[in-house]
Amino acid sequence: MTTIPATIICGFLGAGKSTLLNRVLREPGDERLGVLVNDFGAINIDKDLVKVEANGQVELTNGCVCCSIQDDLASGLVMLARRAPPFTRVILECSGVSHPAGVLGVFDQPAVSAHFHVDGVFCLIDCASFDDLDFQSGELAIDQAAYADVVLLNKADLVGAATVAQVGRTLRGAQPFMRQVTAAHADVPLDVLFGPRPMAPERPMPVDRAGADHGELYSAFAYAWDRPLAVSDFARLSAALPTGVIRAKGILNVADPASGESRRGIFHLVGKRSSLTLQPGPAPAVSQLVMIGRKGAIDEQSLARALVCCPGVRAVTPHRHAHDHQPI
Amino acid sequence: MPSADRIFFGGTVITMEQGQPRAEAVAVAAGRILAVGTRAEIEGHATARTERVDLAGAALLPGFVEAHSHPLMSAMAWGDPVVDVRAVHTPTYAAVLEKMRRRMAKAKPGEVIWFLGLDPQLHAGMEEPPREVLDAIAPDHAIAVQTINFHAVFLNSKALEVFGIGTGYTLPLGGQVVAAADGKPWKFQETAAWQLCNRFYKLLGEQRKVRSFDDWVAKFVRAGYTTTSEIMIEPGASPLLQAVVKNRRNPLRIVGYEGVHRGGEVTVARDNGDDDFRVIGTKLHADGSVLLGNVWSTHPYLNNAMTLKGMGLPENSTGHASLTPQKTDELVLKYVREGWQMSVHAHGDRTIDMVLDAYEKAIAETPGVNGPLRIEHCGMMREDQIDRAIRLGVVCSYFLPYIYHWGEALRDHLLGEEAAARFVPAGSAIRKGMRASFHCDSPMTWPNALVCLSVAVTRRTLKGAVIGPEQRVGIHEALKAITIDAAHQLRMEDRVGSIAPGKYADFVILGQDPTTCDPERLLSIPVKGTVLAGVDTASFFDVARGEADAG
Repeated sequence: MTTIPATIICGFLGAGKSTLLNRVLREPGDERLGVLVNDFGAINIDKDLVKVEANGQVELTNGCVCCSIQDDLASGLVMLARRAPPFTRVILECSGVSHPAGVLGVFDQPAVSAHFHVDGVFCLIDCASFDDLDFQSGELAIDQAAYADVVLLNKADLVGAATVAQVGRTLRGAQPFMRQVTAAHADVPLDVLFGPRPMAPERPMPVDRAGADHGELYSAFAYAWDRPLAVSDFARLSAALPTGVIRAKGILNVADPASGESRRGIFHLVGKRSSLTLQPGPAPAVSQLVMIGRKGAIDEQSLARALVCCPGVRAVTPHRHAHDHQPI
Repeated sequence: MPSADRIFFGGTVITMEQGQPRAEAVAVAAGRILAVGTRAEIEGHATARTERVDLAGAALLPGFVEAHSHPLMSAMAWGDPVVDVRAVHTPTYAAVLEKMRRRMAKAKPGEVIWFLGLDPQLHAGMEEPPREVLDAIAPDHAIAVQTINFHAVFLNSKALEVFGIGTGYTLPLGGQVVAAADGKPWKFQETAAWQLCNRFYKLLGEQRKVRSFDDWVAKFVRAGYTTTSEIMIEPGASPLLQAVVKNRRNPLRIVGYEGVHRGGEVTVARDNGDDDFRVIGTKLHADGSVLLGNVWSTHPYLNNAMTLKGMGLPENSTGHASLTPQKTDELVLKYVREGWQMSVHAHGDRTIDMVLDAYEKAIAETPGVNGPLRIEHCGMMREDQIDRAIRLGVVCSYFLPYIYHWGEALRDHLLGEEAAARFVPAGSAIRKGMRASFHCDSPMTWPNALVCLSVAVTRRTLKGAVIGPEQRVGIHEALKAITIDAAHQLRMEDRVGSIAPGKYADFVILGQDPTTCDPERLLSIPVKGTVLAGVDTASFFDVARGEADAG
C-alpha cells in the first residue's frame, strides 16, 4: 500500500508558517490537501474560497481541508487518512514552540506510519528578528532548523543581504550540512515544497507548477538517460550533487543489483536527505531526473561532474506548467 | 472477601512472579495489590464503589525499577542556566564552541555559565578545550565545560577567580586536577569536578533545585518508572531530598545511597524515611569513566586520535583507580560493619578485582551483612569476576545504554571489537544466575527503560550496529532486570518489583506487550502511564506535557 506524503512545516513563532500555508491553500496546484494546524485564527483564508466551516474544520472550494489539531497529533493524522476522497498530501503546521523530534516521532508510530510517510520537513527562520530572540528561543529555532530538510531564510526583504548571510552562518555553525533557501513573504514554489510532480512515462517531467513568478528566482535542470543505470553509479551521482540542489525527483530505469533486471527506481531528494527506492511496476524506457534550486545557487560544474557518474546523460528542457492549477 | 478499590482488566497482566507469570486482572485495595487472577476471580472482589479500569488491550506490568540513578543530581545538573551541548543535538566540537559563543553573546554581567555534555567520543573533532579558547569565548564571564560522563570539568580564567581557586587549592580525596599552560588548575576530575558542581549549584540557590527536581521526576514517570534510586547523595543533602519528595503527592519512590568518598559518618540515621524516600546505603567511586580513560583495566586503550588527543591519554593506557586498595578496604569495611548496604562504582576489571577483594574481606569480618553488596556499571568485567561475584553474593547493575549511545566508539576507537563485544556483560552474568539490574544512570543518559530492554535483547546501538550479540538475553530476563531483580538490589523486593498480593500497586501500562513485540521495535512501545500505590500518577502532576526527551 502506498502511503500519503506528509509535508511538515516548522519554525519559531512569527517565522511565517501561516503565511506559507495560506499561500499553498490558495494555490494548491494539482494537490488535494489535508492540512493540520494549531491555530486557525492565524490563517486568513479568503472567504470566497471557503465552502463549509464547521467543527474545527474548513473545507475549501478547491477540495482542500484545513483542520485544527484537537486532541493529539496522531489521532488527527489518522482521522485525515480515513477521509474520502483521499488526500494526495497532508501538511502539518507545527506549533512555533514545538520540537520537530517529537513531531517526527509521531510519524514513527505504527498507526501513523501505516498511512503516511514524511516527504519533507521545512523550517522557516525570521531573519529580521532572529538576533533578538533570547538564548533559549534562539536555540529552539536553531534546533527546528537543524531537523529540517530545507531551511527557508524568510523575511529576507526586511533586512540586508549581510544579515541574511549572518543568520545563515549562525545556523550552519550549529548544523554544517543545513540546506538553506532565501525567501520573502514565505514565497517558495510548490515544486520546492512538494517536489517535482511525477511524470507520465516518456514525457518530460513538468516543473514550476506554482506560477511563472518563480522562474526568475529558481532554476530547474532536467536530464535523461536512454539505457539502464547501475545503482552504484547513481549512488555516486546522488552523493556528488551540489548542495544548491534543494529538490530532485527521478523516475529511473535501474539495473537490479541482485538480478541485473531492469527495475523502476524512484529517486527523491529534499534538502540534505535523499533516497532511491525500487518500486513495482514497469521500468521507464527513459530515465529522467529533475532538479530544482535557487537561481545561481547550483554550482553547474559540480553538477556536471556528478552527472557523468552515470554514463550517457543528456540534458532535456524542463517542461513548464505555469498555469497548471487544476486538480487531477 | 475483601473489596477492591480498583480492578484492572482487559489487557495482558505480566506479573514477573514465577508461580503465576500471566493473569487477566488485578484487584487493588488501599494502595496494595489485593488479588491477581482471572477476570472472574477478580470480579469477586468488586463492590458498588469499585472502579474498573479497562486496559483496552494494553499490557500491565510492575512499574519499572531502576537500581542506579540520580534524579536530584540530574535536576541540578541540567536545565537553565546549564547549557546542554550534548552530541545528540550539537554534533561536532566546532558546533559546541559555536553554541558557547551564542550563549555568551546573550550573557548578562556577572552570570556564571555552565556548559554540559562535551563528548570525546561523539563530538567529531573534539579536543580538550584549551584555556585560551575558553578565555577567548568568555573573557569577562566565568564559564565551565563539563563532559557528558560528568567526570571532568574545564574552567576558564574568570571561573578560577569566581570559584576562589588559587595557589592554595587542595584536592578532595579521589580527585585529580591538570594544570593549563599558565600553570593554574584547568581540568578537574572525579571528586574535584563534583566539588565544583556543588559550588555552582549553591550559587543558583535552593529554589532552582526544587523546581527542576519535579521536571526531572516527570521524565522518570513518563519512562514508566515507579521506583528509582539516588545513588550518590551529597552528605547533608538528604533532608532537602526528603522534603521535596514529601511536600507533594509522590509519583516516584526513591531509594537513597549517600556518597562517602570523603569517609566520615553517614549524615542520616539508618532507619530514616519511608517507602517514598529512604537512605539505605553508601556509595563509593573506585574509578571513573570509560569515556575519559580514568578506569583501571588490564586491557589497554587503542592508540588513535580520539584516545590520544580527544581524551588526552598516554599510549597503551590502562588507566588508574580513584582509590587505593587500602582505602577501598577501609571504607567498605567501615560502612558494611555499620549495616549500610554498600555500592561501589567500578568499570575497569582491575578496579573490580579491588572491589571484590574489599567485599570478600568485609564479608569475612562481618556477621549478617546487609546485602546484596553491589558493583555499579561493570563495563569491563571479566568472566572470572562474574563467577567470583556470584560466589560472594555480590550483584551488579549494568549500564546497558552505554552500548546504545557509545557502542561504536567503544568498538572502533576505545577498546576494540573483542572488548566492546563483552562490554557490560549482563548476558553472561544473568545466564550464570546473577540477579543483575540495568540502568540509564540519569543524568548521563535520560531515563528510558525501553533502551535498557532493547540493548539487553538486541545489543543494537542508536546508529544500528549490533555489538556483542553473545551478551543478548531473552525479553523475560531483561524485564526481570528492570523490575524484580532491580527491586532486590534496592532491598525493596518484598514491596515492589512484581505484581503479587500484598505488594504496592505500582504499575506501568504499556501500549504493547513487550514479550510478544518484535525485539527490533521495543523502543517504539508507548508508555501509557504509571500507577503508584493504586493511583494514576498522571493525576499527581502534569507529566504528559514537557519537551520531547531527545536522547
